[in-house]
Amino acid sequence: MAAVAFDYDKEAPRVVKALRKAFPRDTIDTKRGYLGRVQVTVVSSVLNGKTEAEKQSYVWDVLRSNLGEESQVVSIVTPYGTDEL
Amino acid sequence: MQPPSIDAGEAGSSTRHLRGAMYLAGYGVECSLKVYIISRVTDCTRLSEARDALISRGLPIRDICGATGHNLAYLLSITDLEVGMDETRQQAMGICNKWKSTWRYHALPASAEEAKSLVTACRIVVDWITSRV
Repeated sequence: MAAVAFDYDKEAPRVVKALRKAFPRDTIDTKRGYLGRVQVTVVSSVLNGKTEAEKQSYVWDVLRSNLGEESQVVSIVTPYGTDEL
Repeated sequence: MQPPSIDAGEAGSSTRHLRGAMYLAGYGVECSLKVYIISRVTDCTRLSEARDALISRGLPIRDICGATGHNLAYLLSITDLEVGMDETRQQAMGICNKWKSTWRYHALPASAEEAKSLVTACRIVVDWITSRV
């Protein structure tokens, strides 16, 4: 079965908009992945003090609650607390 | 020439190996991704051959034989591995993506929790990729 291709230029702003609900003033960056998949980086003080697993869960929960099934366009999330800078 | 001495009382002597373990684990992910890329290009046995073959097909591949070759997210993005990753692998790859090749020079010690998290994530990713080669 052929892999689904996404329109990165259309999907990336939607992903950022979904993340803005939890990270209104934080740094969010996206990069183009394989066949238009969206790779996300978030830098936020909200993530300070959390373990790497907790940071992953936090951001993925935001994506899933705001995008539902459409969160499959996101392939990986790289979260940083400001305490890591 | 004097052999290197180990001073148990030296600052960071009890945790320095953790950063080394983190460096090596991430390097394992880098190498696995590169092996996967080579394996997907017919008749290639070297990364430079795979890179050139992909470029000759018109794909906008950056120089993965240079510094870009340490960028795990970029290496992933030029493979079909990024399709259909399950939650465990997505989160493990996200943790691995915080790896830096410059950790080999990193003087700051890592915590045991930090090291365990990264090494475990790298193990998941390496096992997954090698099962696909």
